[in-house]
Order: sequence, then structure tokens, then C-alpha cells
Amino acid sequence: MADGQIEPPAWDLVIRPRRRWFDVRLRELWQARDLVMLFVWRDFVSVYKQTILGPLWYLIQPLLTTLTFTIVFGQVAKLSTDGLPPFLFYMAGTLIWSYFAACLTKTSATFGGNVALFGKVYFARLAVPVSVLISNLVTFAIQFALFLAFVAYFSARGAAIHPNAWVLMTPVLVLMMAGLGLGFGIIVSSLTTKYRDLSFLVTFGVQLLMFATPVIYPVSAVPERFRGLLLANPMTPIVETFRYAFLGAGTVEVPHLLYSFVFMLVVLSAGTVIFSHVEQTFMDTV
Amino acid sequence: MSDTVIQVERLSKRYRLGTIGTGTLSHDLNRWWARVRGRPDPAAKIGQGRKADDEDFVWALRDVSFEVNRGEVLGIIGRNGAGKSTLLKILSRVTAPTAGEVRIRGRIASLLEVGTGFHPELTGRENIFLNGAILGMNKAEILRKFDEIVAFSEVEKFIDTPVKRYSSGMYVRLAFAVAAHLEPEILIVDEVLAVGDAEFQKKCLGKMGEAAGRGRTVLFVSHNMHAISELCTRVILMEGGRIVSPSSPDSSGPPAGRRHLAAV
Repeated sequence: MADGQIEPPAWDLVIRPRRRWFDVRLRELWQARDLVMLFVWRDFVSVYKQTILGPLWYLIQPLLTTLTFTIVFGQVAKLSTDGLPPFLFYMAGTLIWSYFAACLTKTSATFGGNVALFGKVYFARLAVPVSVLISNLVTFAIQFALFLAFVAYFSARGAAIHPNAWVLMTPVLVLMMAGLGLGFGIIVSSLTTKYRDLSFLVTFGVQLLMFATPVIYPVSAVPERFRGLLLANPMTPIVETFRYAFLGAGTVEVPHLLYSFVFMLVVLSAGTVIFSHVEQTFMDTV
Repeated sequence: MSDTVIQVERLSKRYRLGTIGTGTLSHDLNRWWARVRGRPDPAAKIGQGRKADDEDFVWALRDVSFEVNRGEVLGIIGRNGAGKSTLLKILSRVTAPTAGEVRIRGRIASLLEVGTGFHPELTGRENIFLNGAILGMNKAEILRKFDEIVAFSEVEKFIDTPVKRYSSGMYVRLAFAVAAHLEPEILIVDEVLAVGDAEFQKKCLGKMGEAAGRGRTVLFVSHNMHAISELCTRVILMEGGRIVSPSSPDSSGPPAGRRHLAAV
């Protein structure tokens, strides 16, 4: 860290013009772990202050979405659900999708939404998007518990669902979604410091992307010629695997999952590098 | 002599004037398309050449060099636009310099504003933890100093009330109390002492003087000449992005500070 030419006691910190591209300083993030957890806790506590139902909203949101999907796509449009109970089918899809969507949209506002904070004090900037992942993970866990309750209820009533060993993959699937959401999110966030347009794109882009992911339909219902396109979407194998694990119907292939995993690693690394580069001077352009 | 804790070497910061990337992607694409066709830049000012020339930029800092020794309280004064805030921003790592280098020894904390990161919905207690962590304390440290912070802020009664219900005075007192209990080796302070009533300001000044007395190094930017002359052992005068008064640490001592002040 210190320059060679200076006297023995090393400098603790050297501030230079822009660092090199691959100098991402993840150690600073680790040192800021208390801060990360406080951000998580702040997000959790502050959102539902002065609401009557409080954290119950975490359950109401997915329930209403699932009900709407069940009626619109299941009853009205009569889309295939791979022979699964429509309610569970849509619930699994929205559960997974909403975690990814929340990670992506919220981390994409990292720079734009924290100008006042970032302009006044330095801390590991990545602490903000990482805390977003974790606080959404709490939401996800609550909704996941609700989903499990429904799975138990449906199987007690003898519905044709077959949870299997793939459920053990759930943590990996969640990790992949978090990585993808974070990676895309911080890339967008870095670019929006200069181009505001992208923040508009994210809002409806995520909505559109949901239709390019088998959330409201199974992969098996997609015509052969579109299937390659669908599988190019790194979220596709994640959603399908999750549904297969808990409900027992869907298309699961290890190469597809590996593809998603590698995709996640690439996006996440690229995101981290770009983010670390932009964070040094974004205050001048934002 | 060797006890230098901050070494600033030929530090410069350049800001671009006017449009930065013009804000939207379509504008930049337009400019790029115009350049491809060899047409003039549609975003350029009339009479401006194709290449960005020097007039597009402003140097907020130019070749600033100085050193600070352990235990010094260095005052930085100058008119608006002299580059003081830019210097503090670079030292606190909010933005990177354009050229030059700063070397720092020891833990550094900067206070460019009080109450950074306060969340209006959270209570005073909750905000102490949040703000403390943002300023660089870890949880154990905050826990240890919690009672002291509350006592200093004089808002004991309201500590479990959301800070959005605080009066502005209470808000600022709580915020400063957190900041005052940071224990960095180097503290950078920007005009934050202009908060609270006269009584509380005095208390803040006292707290800073105390910090300096215990071997901490303080960098202090202020327009408050009284505070500067009271606290600082040395003063740097800035003008137009440069240091205009001597900046070597040897000619120090309060008299030197007072002399420069008299010159302002």
C-alpha cells in the first residue's frame, strides 16, 4: 500500500487518483460488516413503522400476487402449470421472482438513492447493496415459510406434488439469485451516475423480464423454437429447479444450472469491478 | 519531526464545467453520431472547438502540498470557492483527486456534516447506532460509549422517540454527540460547529480541544475565526485552490496562527 521511497513506518492509507480497474478492496466490506447489519436492520425496522399490519405485509403481498396470478393466468388464460396445483405453481414462481426483482431494482438505486450519504462520509460503498440483499433475504425467508406451509397443506390434502432431494439446492439457488440481482443492480447503478435513462429501463425492464422467465408458465409449455432463447435467460433454470424441488414437476438440467452459475459469477465480478471504479468519483458526475 | 500523520503532495482536483455527459444516453449518442459524421458537437457551446479545451475545466485544487504532525490542530481558512471543501472531500475519500497523493497514518474520521445517515423514522437510540457505524465505529465501541453520548446530547428523555419528532436543536445535538465520541487518531471537521445554541457550541469546542489535548490530530475548516484562533495551533490560508500562507509545520504555535488570522 505504501510507497517504497518513504520512511519506515508504513502509511495506513494512501489516497491517489483513480485506482486501477481490478482494485476492488473486498476487505473493506468485511470490516464494515457491523454497518451492513445495521443497514439491514434499519431497512427492516423503518419500512413498516406507522403501519397497522406491520410485518404482516410480507405475507399479504405474495398471497395477493399469487391469487391474482391464479385467477388471471390459471382461470382466465388457462396456461399450463405442468399438472401442478395452480396456486402452488404461481406461488413458487412469484416467491423466487420477487426476491430477484427486489435485489435488482433496489441495488440499482445504490448511487442515486444515497447521494446525500455518500457525499459526506466514506465507508465501503458495497455495504449498501449487500445490505439490500440481506434485508430482502429476510423478506424471502418469511415468504418461503408461508410457501412451505402451503406445500404441507396441499400435500396433506393429497395433491400431486412430490418434493424431492433437490430442495437441498435451495440455498445455492438463493445465492445465485442474489448474485445475479446484485451484479446487474450495481452495474445499472454505476451507469446511472452518468445516464439517468437506465433507471427507467430497470423499472419496466424487470417487469418484462418476468415474462421471459418461466414464472407464470413452465418451460415445457414453450414451443421448441423459443426454448433456446428462454434458456439463455440465467433465471430460467433457477425458477424451474426451485419448482421441481418442491413440487416435483419441471425441467431440471445440471448443465443449465451450471450455465446460470457461471453467468452469475461473470456478472457479479464485472459489477464489482465497475462499481469499485465508479464509486471513487461518482460524486463529481451524479 | 518524523511524526507526520498526514502528508499531502501536489494534490490537484479538476472539475468539469457545464454538462457532464449531458445527463442522458440519447444526448451522448447524438454527440457521438455528430462526431462520426464530422458535424459539430450539438452540445458544444457556440464558438467552441471540437476538443475539450482548458476552459471546460476548473481546478478546485492546484498543487496543494502540506504536512500535518501528530497532535496538531490545523485550521484551514479561505473564502468560499477557495478549495477548502474539495480538500476535505478528498481527505475523507468522498471523491478521488485528479493528481497528487495523500498519505495518512492512523485511523481517520471525517465530519463534513452532522447527522449523516440519520433516519427520521428511527428513534434517537437507533440512530446513535446507525450513525456511529456509518462514521466508522463498530457495534462494541458504540455500546461502550452509548451512555456518554446520550448524556452529552442532553436528549435523554427523548431517546426512544423517532428523531423526526425532534426539534432541530435536539436533532443536531444528538448528531454531534455521536460524532464527538468517535475516537479517531485524525479528525476532519467542516464547519459543523455552527450548530446548536451558544452554550452547546462552547461544549463542542471544548470537546474538540480535549481531543487535541490527548494527542489527536484535528483538521478544522471554519469561518468562525474565534473558534479557529482558540483551537488551532497552525492555520493554512487557501485562495483559488492554492495554499497562500506558509505550510511547513516547523513555524507553528498559536502565535503563527493568530498572525495569519490577522492577515485575513
